[in-house]
Amino acid sequence: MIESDIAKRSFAAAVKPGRFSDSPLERLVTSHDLAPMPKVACLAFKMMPDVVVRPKEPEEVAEIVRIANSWGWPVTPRGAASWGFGGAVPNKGGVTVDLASMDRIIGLDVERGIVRVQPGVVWLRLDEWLNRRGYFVPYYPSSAPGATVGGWISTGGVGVGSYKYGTARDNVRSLQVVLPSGQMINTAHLLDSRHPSQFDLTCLFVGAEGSLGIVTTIDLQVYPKPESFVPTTYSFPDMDHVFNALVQISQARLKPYHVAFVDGNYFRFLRAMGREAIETGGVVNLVFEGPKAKVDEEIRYFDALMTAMGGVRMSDEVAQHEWKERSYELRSKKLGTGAVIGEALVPVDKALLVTHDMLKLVRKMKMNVSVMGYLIDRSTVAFLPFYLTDERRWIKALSSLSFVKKFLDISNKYGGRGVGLGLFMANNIYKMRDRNTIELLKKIKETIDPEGRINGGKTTMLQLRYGIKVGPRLFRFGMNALALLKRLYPRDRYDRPVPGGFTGGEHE
Amino acid sequence: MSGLVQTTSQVVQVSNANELQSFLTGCRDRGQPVVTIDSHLLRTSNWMSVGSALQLDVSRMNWVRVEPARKLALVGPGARFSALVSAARAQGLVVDLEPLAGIDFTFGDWAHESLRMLSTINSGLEGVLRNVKVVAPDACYQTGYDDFPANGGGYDLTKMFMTSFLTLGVPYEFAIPLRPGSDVVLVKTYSFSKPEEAIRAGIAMHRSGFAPALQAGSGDTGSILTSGSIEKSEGLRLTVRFEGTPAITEAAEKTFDEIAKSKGGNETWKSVEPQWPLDPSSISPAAWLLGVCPCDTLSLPSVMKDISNMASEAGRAVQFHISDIDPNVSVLVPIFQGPPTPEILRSIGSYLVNRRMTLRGNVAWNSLLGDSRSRPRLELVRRIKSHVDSRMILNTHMMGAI
Repeated sequence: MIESDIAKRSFAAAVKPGRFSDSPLERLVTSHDLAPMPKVACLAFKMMPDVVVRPKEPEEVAEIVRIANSWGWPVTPRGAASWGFGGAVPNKGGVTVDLASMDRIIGLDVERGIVRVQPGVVWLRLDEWLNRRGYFVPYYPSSAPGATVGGWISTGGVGVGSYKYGTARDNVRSLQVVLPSGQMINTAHLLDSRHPSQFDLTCLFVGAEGSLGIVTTIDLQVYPKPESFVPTTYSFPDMDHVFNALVQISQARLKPYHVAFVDGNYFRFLRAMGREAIETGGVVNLVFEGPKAKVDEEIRYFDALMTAMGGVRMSDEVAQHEWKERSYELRSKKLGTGAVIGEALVPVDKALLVTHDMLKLVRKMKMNVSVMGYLIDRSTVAFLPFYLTDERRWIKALSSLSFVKKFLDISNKYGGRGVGLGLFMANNIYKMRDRNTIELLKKIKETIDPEGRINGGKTTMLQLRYGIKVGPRLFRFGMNALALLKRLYPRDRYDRPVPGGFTGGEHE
Repeated sequence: MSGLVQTTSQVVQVSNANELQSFLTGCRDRGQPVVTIDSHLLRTSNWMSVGSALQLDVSRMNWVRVEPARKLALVGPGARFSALVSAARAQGLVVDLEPLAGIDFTFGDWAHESLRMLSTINSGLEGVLRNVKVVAPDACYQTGYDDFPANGGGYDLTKMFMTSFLTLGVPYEFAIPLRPGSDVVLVKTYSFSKPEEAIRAGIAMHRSGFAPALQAGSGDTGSILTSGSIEKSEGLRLTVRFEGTPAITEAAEKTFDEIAKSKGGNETWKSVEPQWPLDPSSISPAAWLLGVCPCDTLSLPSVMKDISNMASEAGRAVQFHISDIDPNVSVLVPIFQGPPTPEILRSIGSYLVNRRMTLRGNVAWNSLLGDSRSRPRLELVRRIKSHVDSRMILNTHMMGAI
């Protein structure tokens, strides 16, 4: 107890006054992420940190890590926690380093189009800042209004604009990282990033989910603001037509900036909430940007293609609305008390088969699921099904979680794989990589972080609060049992908002 | 190691991944050092023999498999760029790459140079390289990455392996994304009397929203490579390649013309087909490609001027090829007529090292790999190497003192 108090005082001294907390409220706030985890999960994981620190500078982060090392405390880096796999949640308590406080845009190299930011900068704010200077950041997560730069790149960074501009690993030029030893490194020489003449470790840390070190500075490639920017929306009779259209888009000679799809259920959820929403079997949103002559030609080209595939172009007003809604895809979660989202990468030519199998699963598990997603490149669709949940009914909520695992099994069957490992999905790594590579990943983790101090027990292994490692077989058994349990419940019905919620506010 | 082909007492050829694994296992068990060799066209000495090391030649691993459904090509390290282009074209697909100086190098050559010999459109090597499969010295297959573009499944090892100059493992298969061909391919060259204006024009074209591929040369690169004769020029020729529909290509050409004109450039050549690849066997022995030097793009004119002056003082002429121009970094290749003297090599080498430290230019010579200013980073890589190469047998001479 005395040791713990001394450790807390050390952490408090490492940051400026007001940037340390051990209050129950602050610790509770940082004990979960987007996923509404039932309280029973605390039996397996110590998700509540012992202290929360909010550093402002990289040197403070390094000092925090050194103190954690000296006291043997686990360290959990945290951004906006807008993902749902537990990557930003402790599994053994310790110190949570809330990087949302490192929110400075350090500067823009106008001649080279590179912006340097701290990890806590929010994407939307960064884009607005760049817009005022004639630039824009064309790749970002759909959760851009709240998600941080550091958080998203740590997940591998697949999102809006990836179809044309690539993922985070294509656009992060260099990182400054505090290693678990407390040392700071730059992962690449800034100008080596396209043509390295030294070992480039950037991509080792991009997508590492904060398990190899804490990112403290990020150099990003940004682009001149385009002359023209036009979203379009096409409605289709059903999802078969939608996925056939996606295959044609992926084979087209031209390339839109962003290609997204949403199923008809999504709009049914919205109507159940009392919101105005279109009647459709599914929509495809195509977004174009660039010089006006190029954009006009691209719109003509894809309009002919979408019409030939059975699509009907919606009004510009609908298209603008759909574009604005890209960051609010979980509005309908008010029908439950939360929403759980799965995420998988699927070969574009197999997306329809994945959908059909998923719908069979939905029927078996008596769930109500909507699916949305986007093209990442000409071969790959990011597939994001979500279901509504009510974690107050914790057994049902817990058993429903097995849907995500079962859906990922379907993706794997068709050559796809899940996105994100974090804490809850760590065992999925066995379906993503071959055994030799997994061994190497573990060796790299051990090399960089021999004590497993930073986000340990995640990403390359699943470890419970008592240090017990859960292997893939036990995980699979548990999830299958939960799926069976879910099938014993009556069909989910989220066709009206749950009672007791506030409605009719100014944002409704 | 029986069954492998030893072409000389020191060079071993392997023809598939199993042979490669078997060879490296044998070398590991014996503690036998191994160096990988490339085509020797570039004078970067990455191929040099070290002590008693066996030289590993992967040129027979030259398969190209195109998977149209996945729009992906799986390519062995011995395959040439032209083989990939032909195989993709047979399926109506194209690859977003251009070989440096138009030379038809193998992917193994490119791996030796961390893929810096490839020009890309707007995306860097990550965007044109999905995955690399390698055999590490401890003889495990290490998938650098799977066939999907994005991470989210553990650490992405591709870039680390591909920037290790083959000190961590030997690539045996590259996954290269393909795309449908375009209606029109425009290739256009503008000449500029001042290199600074050519570079500024290139950057403006890069930022125009049309995403062209850009290369430049102080003379006709193809000519010096095939004839070995230097073309003396103070200016720079900027070559832009763009693909699209007729309407978009027309709009792009108009934009490029306006940019070139505003910077003082004149159109000198236009075609609808690129002029590469250049068969390595047609390259004159008199043409010496002195390494691959990524440089801060805005510093290129002064770097070229300094190298020209150094060569001139030694009584030699030099011509330049510049590949993969973007606002940040471009690849500079000095080309000499005949082998440069050791004095020139030394002076240019130390000059480029100095530029690296001060003006952010650098060079690929292997001796610099272990010369990192970031000791923690280098130490980290050395520790990772010890996991994949416990006996330290593969290209270890390139990592500095271990």
